[in-house]
Amino acid sequence: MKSGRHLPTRLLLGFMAVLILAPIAVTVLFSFFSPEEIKAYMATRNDFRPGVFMEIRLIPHEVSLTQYYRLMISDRGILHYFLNSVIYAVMIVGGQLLILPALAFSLSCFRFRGRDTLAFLIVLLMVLPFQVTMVPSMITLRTIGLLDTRWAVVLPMIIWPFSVFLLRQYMLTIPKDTLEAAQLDGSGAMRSFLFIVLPISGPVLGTMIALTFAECWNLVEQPLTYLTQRTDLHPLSVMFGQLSNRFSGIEYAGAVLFILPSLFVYLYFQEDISEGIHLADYK
Amino acid sequence: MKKIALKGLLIVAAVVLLCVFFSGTLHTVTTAKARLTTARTGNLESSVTLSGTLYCGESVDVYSAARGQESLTVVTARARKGLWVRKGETLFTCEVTDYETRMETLAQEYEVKAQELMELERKNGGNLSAQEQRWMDAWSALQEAAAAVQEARVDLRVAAGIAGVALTGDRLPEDLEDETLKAAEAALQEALTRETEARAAFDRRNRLSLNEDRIAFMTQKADLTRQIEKIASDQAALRLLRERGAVITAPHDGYITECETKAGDTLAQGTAAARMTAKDAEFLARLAMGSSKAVLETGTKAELSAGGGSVTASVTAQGLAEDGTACTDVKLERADVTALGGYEALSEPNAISATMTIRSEDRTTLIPTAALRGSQGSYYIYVAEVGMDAFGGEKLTVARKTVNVLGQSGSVTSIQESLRDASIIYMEDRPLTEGCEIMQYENP
Repeated sequence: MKSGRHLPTRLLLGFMAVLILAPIAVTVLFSFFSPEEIKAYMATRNDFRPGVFMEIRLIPHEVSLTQYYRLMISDRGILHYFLNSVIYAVMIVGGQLLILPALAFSLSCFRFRGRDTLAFLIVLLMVLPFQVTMVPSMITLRTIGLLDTRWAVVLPMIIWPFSVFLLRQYMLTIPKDTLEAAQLDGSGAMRSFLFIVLPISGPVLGTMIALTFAECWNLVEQPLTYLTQRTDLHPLSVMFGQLSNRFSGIEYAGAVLFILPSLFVYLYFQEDISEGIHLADYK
Repeated sequence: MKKIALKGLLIVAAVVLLCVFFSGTLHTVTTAKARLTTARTGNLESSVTLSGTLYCGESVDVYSAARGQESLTVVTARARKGLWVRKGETLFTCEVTDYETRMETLAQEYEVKAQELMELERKNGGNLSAQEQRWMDAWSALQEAAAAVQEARVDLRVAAGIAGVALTGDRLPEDLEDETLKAAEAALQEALTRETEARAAFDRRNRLSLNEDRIAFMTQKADLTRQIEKIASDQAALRLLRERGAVITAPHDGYITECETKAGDTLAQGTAAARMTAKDAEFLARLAMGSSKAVLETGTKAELSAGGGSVTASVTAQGLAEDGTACTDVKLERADVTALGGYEALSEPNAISATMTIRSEDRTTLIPTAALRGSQGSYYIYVAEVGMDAFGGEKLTVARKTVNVLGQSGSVTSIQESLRDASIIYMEDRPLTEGCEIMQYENP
């Protein structure tokens, strides 16, 4: 009887899982089609005659690694943009790890005039869409001479309001008694931050890394806005659109390559994300 | 799960890094490489190599001065095959064969006949009377007229026989227009007329009723006198032959084409001592066309080589040789013959090798023959087209293009199509297929 009670829920969830995972599965399967076969198959689209249906083909006539060969070796321009994406991700995540935990700690554990106002402003920034802050950012970057450089993309993303909000909210839940006890033992603010707050904030830091990685791995607007003259600095997320527009037959292999880093990062920090959600529920 | 994720991430990173470092090398190794060239417009040139020999036309005989029964014995023979001689240049030095013996014989004959004449005159009183002299003159004239008629008749019959004309007695057909035969007939008729006149004159003299003995004396005397004159004439001719026939010279400038005469050989009347090229003969390199169907225009430059030497000359004619085979003639100067090794060497079969370059009249598109693919009737070439890879980068891909071949010459082929600005692929390092990517060989 228990299983029967949960069956509709499970069916619904299963159906949604299939809906969500189906495009990814199809992408992976199509990446093993030869470019000629995938082009021929895609050419059968847009036939809306009554009674004519597009064939559903998931298995290629001949398994081929040609898409990966062309992607990685022949038309190897994708690797350049892939490396750009990696560079941005590493710089942004690294910059956030370096700055944001300390910022969140100061906004959560210290009391000073304007602390809440500052926190509110940060939350406000989080709410504002990119298009609102785009022009002021661009003027600022041009004034300081960072336009059309990698720093134009990296610097604004380091101070990501959502990460600050996430970390602050978590650090607010750290018991004050713990910090006071450390103070009593002679630990200063830095020592308390490094040896008490940071270890405790492991899960939320993992969550922050995963979410930040996902955000900067999919950067599109910032590179297009701040790197207009330097398309060689664009990340893969921007150039992938061009790849798709040309319909070169290697889009699916490119998509698989694009998905893999995000997938592995999420898998690595999956437990931290779950623990973070669990701790939030618990609190 | 963390371990799996970390391993996956590291594998992706390793693969990407390996591809970053080695994709260029792998791409270069796996991509076909070829040389690219562009077509040019020009006249197709082809070369023809022929062989042949020296041709100087018909040779002429070089005769000795021997006449009649006389003959010459060669003392020194300077002439040899292939020798270039100038007009008047000594070819042979000779001496009259058995000159002393012949002269002695003639002298003895002369003496005998003179003795017979003296004896005859002694027996018959020596001098002739006026009447007898006139009879004698008429008889001699009749003899000469008869001999002239005979000679004219022989000349007419020989001329008619050569012309293939049938005579009716001593008359030609009336509708004949041949001037030579008509002149011979006229000469015969004139000789017959003179004979008739001489006979009439003799008949008038013969009515004088001379003594038969006197007639016999006069005829014998005339005969002996004629014999003596002939002997004297022979002696003079023999002596003249000794003086003038001692040297045989070249009648004109030319090459000695044949010479079998050597010292000690005897040359009689009508015997050619040697053969040489005709006067003002042209020297031609007669080249056999063989299986070649090339059309060589007059004036086409020809590079001739033989015997280690080489000269440049021009084609003068193309046609058929005397044996009916196709040939090409190239005119040579004497200096050219000398430079190529001389007459004797060049007169050997296929002694001369000639190379001629033929340029087509029309300007067509020319491509390297190495770029031409396919077979007769379905020729094609590969051209490199600039395409774009997935991210807009340029790459070269192979496109097939059918062509019509107009002609080939060695390493150059003439085609009908215009391939302006097209990059033609040739000398690839592996088989190509249409649509595959190539990389261009670049000279270091």
